[in-house]
Amino acid sequence: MSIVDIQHISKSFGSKQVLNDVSIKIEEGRIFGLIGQNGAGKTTLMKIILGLLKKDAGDITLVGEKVQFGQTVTNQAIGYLPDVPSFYPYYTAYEYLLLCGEITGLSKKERELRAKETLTQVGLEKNNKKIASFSRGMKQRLGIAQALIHKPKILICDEPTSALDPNGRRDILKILQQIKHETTVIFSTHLLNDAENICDDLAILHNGSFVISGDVQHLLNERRKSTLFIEAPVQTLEKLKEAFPEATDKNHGIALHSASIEKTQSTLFQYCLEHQLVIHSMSVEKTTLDDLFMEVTAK
Amino acid sequence: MTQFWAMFKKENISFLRTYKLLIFCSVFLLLAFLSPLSAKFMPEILSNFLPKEVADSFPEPTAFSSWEQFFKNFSQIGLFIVVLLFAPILSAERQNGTLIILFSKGLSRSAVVMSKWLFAAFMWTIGYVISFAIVYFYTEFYWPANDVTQLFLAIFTLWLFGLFLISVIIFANVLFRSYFSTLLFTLGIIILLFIVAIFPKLEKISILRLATENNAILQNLFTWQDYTVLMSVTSGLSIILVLLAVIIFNKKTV
Repeated sequence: MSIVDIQHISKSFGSKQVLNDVSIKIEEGRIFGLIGQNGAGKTTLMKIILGLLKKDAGDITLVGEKVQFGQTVTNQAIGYLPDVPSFYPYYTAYEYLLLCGEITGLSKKERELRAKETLTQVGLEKNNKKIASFSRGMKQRLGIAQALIHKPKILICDEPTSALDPNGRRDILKILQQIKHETTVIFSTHLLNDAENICDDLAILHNGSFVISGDVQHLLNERRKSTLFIEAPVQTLEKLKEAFPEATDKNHGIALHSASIEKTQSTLFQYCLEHQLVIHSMSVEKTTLDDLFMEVTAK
Repeated sequence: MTQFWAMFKKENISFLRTYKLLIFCSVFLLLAFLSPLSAKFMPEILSNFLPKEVADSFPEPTAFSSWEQFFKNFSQIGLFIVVLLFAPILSAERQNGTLIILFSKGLSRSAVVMSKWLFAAFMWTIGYVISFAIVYFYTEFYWPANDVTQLFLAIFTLWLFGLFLISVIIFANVLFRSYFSTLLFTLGIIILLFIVAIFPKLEKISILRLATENNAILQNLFTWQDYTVLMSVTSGLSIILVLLAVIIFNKKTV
């Protein structure tokens, strides 16, 4: 069952069309990556899902309920981590979580319990300092804790790792992976590596529309490139380039594109035997999300 | 209602931990103690510096002098401090984005506006009542036999003026994101009140009278009947401003 159903959403700021008839369904219990360049409309779409921004057209259904601007009833089902979360600096993390718990309607006992649980979950349980003294990474972790306080069905994170150092990023990604069994995670990023590492599904937003969407592994397999990468001594490479005019230079080697990898491979081997050429290595290139992204956004 | 109280508590903590409570209490207490004491001792102090003829020309201080000081201090410095401290009450949060997370949790916007209005009104009332009590105590102590009448009416009108001003601030906070614009808007409204006060025909709706006629009330120049229309107008306007604030804020993008 799809937990989020986005139908024909459009939004423009002035004359600039940010989202143009965007539709997608997000399945329960998965990590969904919303990928796009800076300014592609990721934050805009998330804010519309949250009812923080008015949409020009279209409908969004969350856990069976329609989202209305300003009336954030549907938000009881959502936890949200903004790109740069701002907290009250004069609160401690624990106090802040109690406030969040109270606003979501948890009883005193529940919110005290959940505040402790979520702080442990994000590794801030021993911190009694005011938020003013927190580092970016700690604020981001507190951001996840507040988003999870009411055990939401959906967690929406806007670029949670973009501003962090490698350690901070790894921590956040680990937390996201741990919670996916209880919470569907929607997370936007322009860091393709992060997305490839943890997303189950993804959609790429480009010029206000989804240019591609679906299961990450499926998309990558579908586009598995038929490219051979060959490393060899310089003289050998020169000869191979003469024999295979379609070859292109790449990282001290050559890349051979072809419709059928097997056929190219055997032709290549045969040629090497006949001309007594030695090559160092030959590999079939793997498609990465980077390649996929470049391909679909180049159009 | 839960959300309202949660935000009201948050306002209290915010006021305390950003040292605003300290400033608020210090100024109000200082003004409160200063009012009767300066009325009582200022002529004496001045006579040490001034020629005898001038010093002797000062009238003997009375209970009226004490209340005069109180109303002068609170209608000017007191309200000025209220405006300064409460002007960023919502605009600062809109600027810093601290409400975004809470809105994403389903916090209603009316709870935000109402809790902030009520908190400002609450602080003004508490500060004003305590200050009044201090002045009352000292005035009765120094001038036990006095003919001050209608004290409650005089006190009430200035209090109502304070509430009106707070409603203006809350309204401005919804319109503008910056501290400076809020201050400017509030100043604009006060100037408007002064302009209205120029025209005798507009006397019935001249809200400024609530903050300027307090001494005259004590001297029996006005009674409750003179203010019934004005008080209704002021209360009505305050309610309209707060309701408008809620309605506009509901439509604003955070």
